[in-house]
Amino acid sequence: MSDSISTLKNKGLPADALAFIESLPADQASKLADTVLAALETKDARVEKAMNNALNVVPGPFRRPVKKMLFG
Amino acid sequence: MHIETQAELLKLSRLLETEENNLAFLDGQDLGALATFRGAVSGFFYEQHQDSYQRLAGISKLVPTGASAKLATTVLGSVLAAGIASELPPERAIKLADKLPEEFLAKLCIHLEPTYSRDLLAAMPDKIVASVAKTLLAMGEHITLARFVAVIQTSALKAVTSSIEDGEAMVKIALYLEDKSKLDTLLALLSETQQRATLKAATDHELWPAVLSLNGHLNTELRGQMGNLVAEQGETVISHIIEVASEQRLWTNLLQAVNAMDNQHQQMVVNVPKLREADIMESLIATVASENSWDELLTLLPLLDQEHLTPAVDVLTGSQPEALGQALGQAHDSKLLGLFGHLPEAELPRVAKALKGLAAESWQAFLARNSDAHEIEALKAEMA
Repeated sequence: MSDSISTLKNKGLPADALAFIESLPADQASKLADTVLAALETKDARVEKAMNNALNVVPGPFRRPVKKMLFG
Repeated sequence: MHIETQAELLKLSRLLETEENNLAFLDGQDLGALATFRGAVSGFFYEQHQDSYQRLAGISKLVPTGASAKLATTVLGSVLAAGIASELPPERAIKLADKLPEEFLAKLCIHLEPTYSRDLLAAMPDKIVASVAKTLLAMGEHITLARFVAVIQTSALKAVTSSIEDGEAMVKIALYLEDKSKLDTLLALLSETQQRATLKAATDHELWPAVLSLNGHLNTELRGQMGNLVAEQGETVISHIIEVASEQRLWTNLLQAVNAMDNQHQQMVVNVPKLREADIMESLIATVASENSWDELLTLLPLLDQEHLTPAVDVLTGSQPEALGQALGQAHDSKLLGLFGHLPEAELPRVAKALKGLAAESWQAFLARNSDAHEIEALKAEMA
């Protein structure tokens, strides 16, 4: 199993999506898993950036409680 | 690559933010399996950030809608706003949508996750849907529009379709529809002028593969209606469609379309000179044999004039006699009887020879079932 497939499995990619990837020949499975993982990382970065942008516009005194609301 | 596979891979490449040709290795995979995979990955991506969307939606509920709209456009951006909108109660999201600039709202719609935004889109007022659809159309966002078509109310769909004059857009939206059973509803809402525009676009923008492929999903009445309009395009267009059907192996779809036409149009289409070309006829018979669409073909063969029937008999008795045997085993007897009864006397010897030779077993079984059929009397006499 390629690293990307393991990572996706650990991140909770649904079983039917994993089954589809694993049904492909090994080189194609690895390529598709890499692509899915790369897309996930791009989306993660985009959401994180937007969350930080949102936080930056909050006036200083409120930033801490809002950060807690946003990031837990 | 089959046109519907192309469409599926385009949708997947958008989701995975990669170039379409990077996924070309998936050509040949089952279309349904690809769509299921895409749906699962799309949901997975959304769920990775759902917690953040819910938290932001929680904050958004605490401030006036005007302030939320301002925050969305100036700080959050359309991607995050799409996630948040899906986590808001639909009535709150609709109030927010009303305060967002059209272009921003359209961009937000591009990023909505189909499953999680279904309720929101279904609840969206017709006026907002029509306005967003107009912007999406101008942006060439046919995939997003197709997603809209699948879930919006019929009244909203009417508002959307009435504003679309671009035939190319209509074909592409139809091609990208997830649930092709919606095609009947969509097409029935188009005026005849709009339906003609889709056919003109098919010629102008090389979209016949899409139109032929989509035709297979229509109900018989609409298929006939569109088929008649296609036939009215004339010989040059019909010949081009035949070439497309041959190149893309879309013969079964074309045969279904012709079968649904009225008789006058059928006669015209099946007797265009293009169909007499040997390689075209070879391709037609080979596809029909591999897809077992004999009934669609055999219904039309009796409409061929002698000049067109000869190349068909050439293939069935010469280069692909095994196809004749297969037809005897798989087609409905009534369709075969129609063909045999239509054979001119001059063709009987070589058909009889082929049946006696390569298709003997199937022919005997066919004879046993149809021993008293008058359509095969001449053929039986020839074989005696």
